[in-house]
Amino acid sequence: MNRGARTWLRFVVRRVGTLVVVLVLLISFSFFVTRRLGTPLYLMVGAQASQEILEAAKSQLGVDQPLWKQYLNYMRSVAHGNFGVSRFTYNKVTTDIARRLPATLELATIALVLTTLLGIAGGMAAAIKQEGLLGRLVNGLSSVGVSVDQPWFALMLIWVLFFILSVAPSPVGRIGTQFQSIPRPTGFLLLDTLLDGNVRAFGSAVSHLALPIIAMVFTTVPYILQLVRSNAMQALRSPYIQNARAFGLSRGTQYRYVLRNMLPSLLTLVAVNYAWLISANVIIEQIYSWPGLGQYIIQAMNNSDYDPVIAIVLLAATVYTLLYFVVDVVSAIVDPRWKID
Amino acid sequence: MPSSSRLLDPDGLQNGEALLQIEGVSKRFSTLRAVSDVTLSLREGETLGLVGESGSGKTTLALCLVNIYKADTGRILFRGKEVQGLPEHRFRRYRGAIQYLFQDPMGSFNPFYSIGHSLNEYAKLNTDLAPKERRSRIEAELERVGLPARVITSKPTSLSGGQLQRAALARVLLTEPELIILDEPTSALDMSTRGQIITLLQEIQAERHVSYLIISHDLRVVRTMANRVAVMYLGEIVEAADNETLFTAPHHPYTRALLNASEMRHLSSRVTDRDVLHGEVTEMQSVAKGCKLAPRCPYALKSCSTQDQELVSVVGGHTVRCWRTTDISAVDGAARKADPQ
Amino acid sequence: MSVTTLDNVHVAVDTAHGTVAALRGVDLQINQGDRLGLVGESGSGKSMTIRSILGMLPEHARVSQGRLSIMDEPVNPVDDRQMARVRGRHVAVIFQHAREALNPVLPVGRQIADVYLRHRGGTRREAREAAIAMLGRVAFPDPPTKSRAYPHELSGGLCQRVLVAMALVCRPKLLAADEPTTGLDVTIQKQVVDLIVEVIEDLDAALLFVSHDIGIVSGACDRIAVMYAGRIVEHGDAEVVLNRPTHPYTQGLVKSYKGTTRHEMPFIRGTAPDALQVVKGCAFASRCPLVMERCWVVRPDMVSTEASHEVACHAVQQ
Repeated sequence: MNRGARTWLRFVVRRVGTLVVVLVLLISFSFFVTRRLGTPLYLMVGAQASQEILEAAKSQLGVDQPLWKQYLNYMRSVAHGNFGVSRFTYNKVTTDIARRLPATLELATIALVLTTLLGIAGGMAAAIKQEGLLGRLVNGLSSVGVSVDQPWFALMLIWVLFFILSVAPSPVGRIGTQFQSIPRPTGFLLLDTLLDGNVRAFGSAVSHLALPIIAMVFTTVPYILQLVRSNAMQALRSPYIQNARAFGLSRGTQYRYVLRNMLPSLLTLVAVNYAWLISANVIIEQIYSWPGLGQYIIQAMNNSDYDPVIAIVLLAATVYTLLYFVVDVVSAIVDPRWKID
Repeated sequence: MPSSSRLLDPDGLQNGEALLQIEGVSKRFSTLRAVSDVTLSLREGETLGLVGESGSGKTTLALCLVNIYKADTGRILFRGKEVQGLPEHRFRRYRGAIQYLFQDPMGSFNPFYSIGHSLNEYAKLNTDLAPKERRSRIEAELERVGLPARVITSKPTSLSGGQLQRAALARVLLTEPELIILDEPTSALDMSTRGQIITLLQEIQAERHVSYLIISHDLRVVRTMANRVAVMYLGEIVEAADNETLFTAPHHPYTRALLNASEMRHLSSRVTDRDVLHGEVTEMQSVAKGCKLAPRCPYALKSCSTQDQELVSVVGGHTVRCWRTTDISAVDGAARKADPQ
Repeated sequence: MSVTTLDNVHVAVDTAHGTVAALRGVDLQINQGDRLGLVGESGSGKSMTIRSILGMLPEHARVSQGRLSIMDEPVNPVDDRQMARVRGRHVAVIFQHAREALNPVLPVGRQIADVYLRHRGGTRREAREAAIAMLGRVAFPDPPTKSRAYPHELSGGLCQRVLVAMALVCRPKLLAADEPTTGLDVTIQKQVVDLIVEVIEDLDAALLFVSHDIGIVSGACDRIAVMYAGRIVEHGDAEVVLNRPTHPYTQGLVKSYKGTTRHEMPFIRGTAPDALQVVKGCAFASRCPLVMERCWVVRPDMVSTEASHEVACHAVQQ
């Protein structure tokens, strides 16, 4: 058994090392790409600016320095957590992101948990009861979910549930306008409303979450479901499950064995899903006017506001890298056959 | 190359007399010594049996013969020409003469191609025949191995294990080989039908004067087919002799344990109830000092684990690697070496 | 008391290519203390027999005729719920290719503990300790440490011992072994068989040892039943079947096993009938050296030739 504590330590240290290297490379890469793109000097100073003003602007931005000096300055400011200022909101980018993060995180996390649970349940059901009504129903829904166009579906939800049936609230923002001013210590409205003891506000937050969550979950569950289904179908026929069955182990135990075996692939998919939900969930946030990071980056792009764009791109890359790192380590823990030396 | 290997050349064949000469071949895989200093030779038209269990190195050795592995040390001579360690384009010209029949017939055919297609491709690569000649050669060989002509259009999945085995044999025969390496030719077959393929192989040998290197853990198969037998354990040859001698007067404890376990002890009075190995073979044992069998040997003494064992000649052509069972002078000499006092 | 009885059991499997008659009338009775070897080659139906007793028939398989009983209670092999109560508790099976039969992501001790919890209850800790004790009973080296090993870290022989430990934990009335020595080194095979015999004695259970190797079987069993094409064709004391076989197939089988000489390896010519074929008369007719006209038309019944010895063959029954 070659997976003693020292081997693990070496493994984690190596992975962390890789993580750091990747992040540094990412940041450097984004620096060089954006410098290639050039700076919106003329947008800043106007087309008729004189040479002096131009020079002044250049030196203010620091673009008159040699490239390597700019790079060092950039890395220094990144290390200090300084990602610039938004030319649209006039806030520091980090402030904007901090304010908007909880909104995206709340949406992403709830969607992730629901998608994963439904995906696992649906996938197992489809694998076990392939020919029954349940199995066929699940497969059918899954096919629809993967074929439907997310923006269209999101809009349809609004049209049917809000306009026609009036069961959903107006799809603008995270909570009804009458509750906008409640205190937000955590930024997560579900928590904040409960902390405030305001049940009506809680209800409003939930109903505002409903439509975007439904749109996201319905279109993403099929991926997890299909992975779980195909892995489960294969596992259920495998010798070790047959052996478990032959020794009289309960169905529950057999299913647990099956799930345990597919954990690495499942985790990878879930991690990718989460990273995407946090960093690139732009369409849903636009359609539902959700004040999160997705809306922020669209706003920044529409206004040629570079700093927020870069910052969010970096954030996305970091989130992906971090999540892959976590999946790597957890997979190695869960599946003893993974070689970690 | 250790001088003792001159002693070990079974028939004292000179270079050029033997079809195949293996001299002092060793192969390591990181910490595992798969093959250690093996010397063997094979005459034209004869069969050499290579016996051993898992970890013996017999398959690794055989794969060195067809350039799939490159040996770390030693030479392999085919008709006096060095074929060990050649780059593929130089080994190419021997591929027709040296053929390998793999253990798993299902695995050696591409499931998407018909049998005829596979055989045709093989003939194209390894012979210079024109298409018409190829066709008739294929039909002739299929008939020779007892398969009906219709298998030409069949896919591998519609044939039984035994039939696929024959098809693989037909394929090998297309190149008019001089040496065929038979890797466990009967392990996938029923006991009552093993004899069919063995008889077929014997007939073909008689007709075409082809030599066989037969690798098997099944002693009965080796008893019937081989002229000479070499027994391997953890990469070393522990006993080598002609067929009659090995089965009626086995010396090495491992050989005797094999005969006992295979219910073949009636052939020799030297095999008794005592000839049983305890424990299991492990990778670590392959690099241990002293006799590799010592941890499991019913006759082991303390000195067996401290002194490396040499292969010693008992009677001309019969070599044994065990100081406790070879003649008195060798025992004396080894005993003196073993106990440093 | 009968531990398991098969009474004229026919099992048919509906496949895309047609209906396969996997078992064509198997009669078997195993009582407490019996040690029966079931010998057969590919297509003989020996694995299907075990699957019937376990109630783990393949999809689209059905018992088209006959009855089964376990512990004198009639059972329906296709009723999963009923059979799940039998598995492990009354009948435990040790399969071939032990490493594949074990869950690759769990330590072997944990897997034994799971079986223990299922059949003997108790806490996780009790189960864990029982698992370690059981590994000791099956001569596992260093049980406390090795119980945390994963299947891929163990040799084939050790994995097989883990399965034996699982069976021990169940305390079944019938221990069935389905080719437990396939793929194992010859020098290890005897260890595994000896272990199984030891365990049988410990548990005071009946043994059903299924194999294609008549030699191994005769070492562990007092009686042998020989199967061919879905039926039992000879049934008698192990010593008699091995040394004085009556049925032509058994004779051919024994000759293939014992009759190898320096120059010849005997065999039975031809091959077993295709599973999809409908067999009229005796299934061995096409390969039998004693075949008569009757053999192609009428199926021979099992008839006693001497005390506790039965053979299904027209030629012998003359």
